[in-house]
Amino acid sequence: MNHSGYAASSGQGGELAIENVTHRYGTVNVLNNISARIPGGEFLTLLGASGSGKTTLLRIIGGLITPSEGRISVAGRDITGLPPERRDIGFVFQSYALFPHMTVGENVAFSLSVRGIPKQESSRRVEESLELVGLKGLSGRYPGQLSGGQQQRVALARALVFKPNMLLLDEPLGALDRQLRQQLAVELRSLQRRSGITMIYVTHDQEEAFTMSTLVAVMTNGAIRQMAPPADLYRSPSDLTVAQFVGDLNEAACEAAGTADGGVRIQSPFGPLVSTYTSASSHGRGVCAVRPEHLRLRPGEPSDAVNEIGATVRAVIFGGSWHRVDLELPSGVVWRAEGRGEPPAVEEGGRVTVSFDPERLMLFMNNGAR
Amino acid sequence: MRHRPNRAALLVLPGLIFLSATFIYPLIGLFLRSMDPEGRLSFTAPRFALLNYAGLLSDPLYQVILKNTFIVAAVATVVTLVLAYPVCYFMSRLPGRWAKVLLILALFPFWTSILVRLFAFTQILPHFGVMYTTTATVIGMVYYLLPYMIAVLYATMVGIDNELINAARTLGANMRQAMLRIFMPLTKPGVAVGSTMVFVISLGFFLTPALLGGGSDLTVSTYIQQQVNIAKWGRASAMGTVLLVLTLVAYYGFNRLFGSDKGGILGGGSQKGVSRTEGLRMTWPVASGFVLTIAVFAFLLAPLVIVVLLSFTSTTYLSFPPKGFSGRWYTGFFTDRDWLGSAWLSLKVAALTAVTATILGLLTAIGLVRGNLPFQRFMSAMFLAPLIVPVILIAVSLFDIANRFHLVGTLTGYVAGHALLALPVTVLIASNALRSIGTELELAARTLGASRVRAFLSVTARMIAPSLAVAAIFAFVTSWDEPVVALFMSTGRSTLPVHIFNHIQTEVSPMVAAVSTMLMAVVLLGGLFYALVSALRRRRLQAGFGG
Repeated sequence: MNHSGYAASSGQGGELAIENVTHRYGTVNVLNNISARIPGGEFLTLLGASGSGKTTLLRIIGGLITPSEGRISVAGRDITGLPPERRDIGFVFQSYALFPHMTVGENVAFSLSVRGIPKQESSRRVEESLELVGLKGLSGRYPGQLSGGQQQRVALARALVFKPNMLLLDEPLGALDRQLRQQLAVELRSLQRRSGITMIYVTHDQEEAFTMSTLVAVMTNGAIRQMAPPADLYRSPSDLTVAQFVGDLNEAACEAAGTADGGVRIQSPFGPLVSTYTSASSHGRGVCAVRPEHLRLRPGEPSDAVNEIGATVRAVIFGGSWHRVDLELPSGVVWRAEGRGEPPAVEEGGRVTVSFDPERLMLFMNNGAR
Repeated sequence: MRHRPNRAALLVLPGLIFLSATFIYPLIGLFLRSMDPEGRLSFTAPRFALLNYAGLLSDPLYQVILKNTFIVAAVATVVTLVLAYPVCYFMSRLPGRWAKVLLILALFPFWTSILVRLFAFTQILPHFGVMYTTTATVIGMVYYLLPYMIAVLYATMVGIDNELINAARTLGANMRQAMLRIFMPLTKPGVAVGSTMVFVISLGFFLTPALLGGGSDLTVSTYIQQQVNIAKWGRASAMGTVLLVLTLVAYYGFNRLFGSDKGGILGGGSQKGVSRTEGLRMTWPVASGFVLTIAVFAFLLAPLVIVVLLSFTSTTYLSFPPKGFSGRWYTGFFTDRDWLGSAWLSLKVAALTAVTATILGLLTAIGLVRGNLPFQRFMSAMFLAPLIVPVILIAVSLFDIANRFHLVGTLTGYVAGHALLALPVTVLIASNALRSIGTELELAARTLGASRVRAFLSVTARMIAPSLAVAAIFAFVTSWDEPVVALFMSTGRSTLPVHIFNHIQTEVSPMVAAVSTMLMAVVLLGGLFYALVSALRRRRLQAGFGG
């Protein structure tokens, strides 16, 4: 992708502020008192399962829905009551919403023509943005004659051509096959980094979110659970729900019983464990969890060292570049270990020792504290 | 690809023979009469002269009639379009179940006998001083045409994803620009189809100008009927041929002009959890459109309500508002042998028509869909043609042939005519049903050991049974409500619509209002029954899929 002209527009639309936004359909609260500040130039992904309210929030920012309560402002200017056509925000729809009666060129030129931009400049910018998304020379086609990936690119070019100060994308890759999704995600990422335009992206796909974003907000039940850069979100999720949503998890019920050895002492179904997980609370019942890639395996029974558990191997799966081992722990709990390359030398049905570092053992208390 | 017809192709034969006997042969007869200087019909020694056509060109009266017909049809089409468009826009943006209720209300007049509707206007229009004028004709035509236009436009508009309007808005278009540049261009195919349909129907209007326009308002159809009545077949058939050609030209022309397929690929997007009304803010154009919508619904329903009110009058004459309250006209109907006899005849004809048209329709559909016929498209078009040809031509040419074979006034004559009118729709419904289920399941049954016939009966036939029931109901209603063919076919005892027609023309007794009310009640009850049955079926299906 070429990006002539877009680097210049970096400078971003300023901070987006969402203040106490609540939205109801009838009596159902779709959004519950959401507040967030998104600095200009960020790539924010709203990540959540369907029904979490992420699309509604995106549409409120875009002006397609007026929130029941609350305020939206950009760079300090209140835009809550502004109709979409006066917000200067690009929107890429899940269904692409390309105008079927217009050619690709006419679709892309639409925003310029309603703004009264002269024909000559308009066609120059249309060409430019079609080139940007790698669709040079297709401007005479109709959307119905394009593949899904091409349609998606047209939608992107159309939303960018008028140089909006923010771009909103509603699961734009949802309808495409896996390989194309990954490719377009990387392209979108680099487009955003070069142009510096604020992008807000909605998806339920964690991998996609992590690929592109500088910030990820995990949403459940109409609220933002946690908003942080992807790495922070993955390493120190604020609660179990967030942890489950970003990556796989091996879980067990447990109870924290004071501190020792520089960490929290934990009673688990597999015996005593130790966690030095960031700011773990030291008392009460909860759930402890380890990510599959943080488990280490060796043949034989456990020693006296901390965080070692005896287990029986249920399955060893070789997936080419990765491997996975399913383990049955004491009291019948099944955990999973994952890693790169060849699987370790363990046999199905054999006994192994599972171990992990104390800082990898996440601890979420039932009262919500971590 | 070579077409090698298989045995299923033979099944089109009964339908083809029927179509030839009741449609193609009579129309050829009409054409031959138009070529004969005296309007005589001879298949063995036809004479070809353009005398009748030359007459049409030279006589100013014909030109007035032609012009009148065209202008009235054009005006009615435009008025119908202008009224239906905003109404359909509102309906298409409403939440699904509200739209459904409104659509049923809008289509209610469609299911009501045309004579009931015309009767309503004969009672209402005199109060506005427009009875027996062209205005009255246009009002009656618009009333008849609105449900067609609404059905077509609504179907087009409901397919337009609201997301396209949203997209236009985020790109900087205001609501007006979004409507003008996105929504309206996308409705073009619907507007073209709806207008063509309505215009072609308008060209063939016969009863409406005859009853509402009075004698002064001559249209091609009324003129043809008059000429046939005085046995001037030459002029009548020449005029009929002209009407047929004009209809086909109008049909073809509209299609060429507007029927581009570019808009056909409507973005059918998912609108997950998003209310369809989210973009609809109350501005003054929205408000005025809303008022217009209410006005159109009032126009559609008020005449029918008035008929019901009139039927309970206690006086022997019709007056509005009705005086007193009495059920005498209802008891009167059930003791009147004339009315009862007509109703019984109509019932017999409609039932036989339903059976005939459905069986012929099914056989034809199997042949067309599965027969791998040569000229398959042309054959399909032939079976649909009776929908396009003005009904007055079908009626006149059928009458001509029926006369030669002494079938006028017989049950066979009525049923042949009505089955011809219903056949296109039964063929269409049965073909769509057959196409949508495909042959895969039937083949599966045959791999399991079922014979060809057995597989068809136990799989395909059972799956298309609901569609066939709909086809039969449609055929029944077509016949039950059909006045024009029946008018030409009747001698002595006439069907119910013709009986009503004669009553409206001669005396105005409240009996017609009572009969009309009962006809509407039957439609209403039938509709409720249908809704109930389909709701039950849906529930059963959902339960079956463990939903």
